Amino acid sequence: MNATGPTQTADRSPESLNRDTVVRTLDVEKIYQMGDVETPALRGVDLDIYRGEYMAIMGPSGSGKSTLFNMIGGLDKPTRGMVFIDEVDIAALDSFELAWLRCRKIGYIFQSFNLLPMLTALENVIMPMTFANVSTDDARDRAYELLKEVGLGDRWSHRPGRMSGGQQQRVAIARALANQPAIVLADEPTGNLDLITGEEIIAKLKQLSSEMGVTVISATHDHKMLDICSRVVWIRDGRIERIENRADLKIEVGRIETGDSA
Amino acid sequence: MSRAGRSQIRTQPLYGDDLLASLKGEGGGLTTRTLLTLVTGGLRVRLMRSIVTMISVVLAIAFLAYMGLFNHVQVNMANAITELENVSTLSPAKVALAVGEFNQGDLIGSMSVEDKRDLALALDLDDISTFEHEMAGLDGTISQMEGTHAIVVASQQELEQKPGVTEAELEDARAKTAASRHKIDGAKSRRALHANRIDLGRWLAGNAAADPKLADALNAHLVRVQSELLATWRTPSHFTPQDMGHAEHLLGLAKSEGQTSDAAATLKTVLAQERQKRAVADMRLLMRRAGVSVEATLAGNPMDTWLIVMALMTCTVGIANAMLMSVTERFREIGTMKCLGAQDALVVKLFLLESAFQGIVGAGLGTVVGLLIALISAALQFAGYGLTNFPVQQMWQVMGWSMLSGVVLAILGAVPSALMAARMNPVDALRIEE
Repeated sequence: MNATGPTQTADRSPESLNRDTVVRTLDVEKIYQMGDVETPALRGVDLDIYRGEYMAIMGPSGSGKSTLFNMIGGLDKPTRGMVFIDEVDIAALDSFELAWLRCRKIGYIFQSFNLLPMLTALENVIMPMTFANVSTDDARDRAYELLKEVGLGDRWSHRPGRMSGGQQQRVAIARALANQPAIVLADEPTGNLDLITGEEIIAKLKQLSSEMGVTVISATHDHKMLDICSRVVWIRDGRIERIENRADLKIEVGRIETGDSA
Repeated sequence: MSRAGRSQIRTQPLYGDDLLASLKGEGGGLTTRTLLTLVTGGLRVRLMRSIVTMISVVLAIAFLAYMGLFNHVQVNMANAITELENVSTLSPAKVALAVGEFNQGDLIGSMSVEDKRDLALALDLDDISTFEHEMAGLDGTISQMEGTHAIVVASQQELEQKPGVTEAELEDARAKTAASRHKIDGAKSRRALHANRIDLGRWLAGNAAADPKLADALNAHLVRVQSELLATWRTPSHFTPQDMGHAEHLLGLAKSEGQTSDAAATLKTVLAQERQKRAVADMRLLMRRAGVSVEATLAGNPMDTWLIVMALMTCTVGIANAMLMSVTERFREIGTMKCLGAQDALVVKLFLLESAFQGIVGAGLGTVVGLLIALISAALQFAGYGLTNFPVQQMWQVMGWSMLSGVVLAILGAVPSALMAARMNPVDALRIEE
């Protein structure tokens, strides 16, 4: 696999040169049609994300951050350009194949957990596996294992309504990792949690993703989250403003500074 | 996974419902069980709304089943009425003869000459040789009986004058005398009947000429006699148990005395016909009270069909509304599931199943409720006739159709919302905030 993307060679750290690209966007444009008005959300984004990376996408609201995020997650198709997820161009997929891809390649963690309230923790984790045609017994075993991994082995029979936010988000992590995805998309995973719980969640996510070699892509404003990121992508006006490596970031309590102003 | 962990999972009920547990172990693929968990889970979480939706199905289907069954009751009753009304009645002459026989000949004696002739004609008394022969036999029997009776009476008197006779012995002797007397009376009454018939037959032979005016007079006379007879058996509107007892008694008498079964049969038929007439009158009255026209019922009532269609349409709209609510409420859930890889077909299936589940439970309950209401209202409005005319054969058919239409309507009502849910973009799961 070619580790060298067509652009952004300047932003690439030396150690990343030997790594697989798991997500690659090529000149992605997205235009939302609202009646007669065309609103461009993305105006040509080229981005490579590597396997096992922990990447944050940042940007003010309306910058196209969410659009890019959805595009990477296979939830949305670009108007122009190409998005490769694990070497698959999502623009070429129909909805059935997209669902297939989402099921097996991508795990999602939402800000508001989005567990299904009628299912138990275990069933919530099993669900994506049943979508992926994993046999019932295997799915159950793996789900239980994952719940133990996130520290909820004794709460597998609880429904989300009887769990705290932190516990719910941990179930969500287990669910996101259920199908051994290539990437995990985390949309403000700590946004609905208090500081300490958020820290725990971040630590857990970091630990599991590095253990499993999963790429984590996160949209966040949480400093603690940025603190463990390998790279941060800044989006502004539908374009990548800059990409920074962890080493270039200076994170202090209460505010964030960049080492070199671009 | 450790062995302990494994056994812990296996030994505890993994899925709350027994229903799901029974489906366990199918293995592989998107199992029915997962679907059921999601469907029943969805219903469980929104229990109140599910119940309200189900109640609307229950009401509509109960109405449908009730209308279907009750309509059958009415049709059956109307059919019974027309059937009974069309039964040919016995000739008054035959009835009169039966009456006459039981009145031991008094009747014929009181009849006018003209009446006699017509009655004799009606009874085919052209040939009376059998009766003459039988009467001769009876004469001999009676004189024999008289002889026996004299002995019995004598022995009784002897016993009464004897000293030291117990009361029981006396009682026994008296009973013997009474029985003997009864026998003679019976034979005499039969002789009288034959005498009447023979008289009539002879009389008929002597007066062959017919006069239509006299026939009318005879008819009127016979009708009067018949009604008088019936008046002794029953109150004007109902047979009481006593009436029935009386009639049975008369029939039993006829049998024990070896009377020609002709009279007994006539009496039986009269009884049956009276019952039918009364039943028809009662049924007509009940139908009128219930505001049901026999003729309209037989012709089919378009008003009811319209009502049923309205009820079912309302039910469908209610289901559609509930399912739309269900979908809009669960946008985030649906989006989440789609993010996790649920196919559009699955989402459609999920909502159709949820609605079908409501439909099955609602329609099942509704059919039973409809059956109960139909039974109760049939019993209340048409008394026993409602229950005897209850459509047992058509019942299962009506209930089956009600059930089926409930489920079909529930599924149909859910189609728009299910399609809406399936078409929905998974991105919405991320966008929509709580």
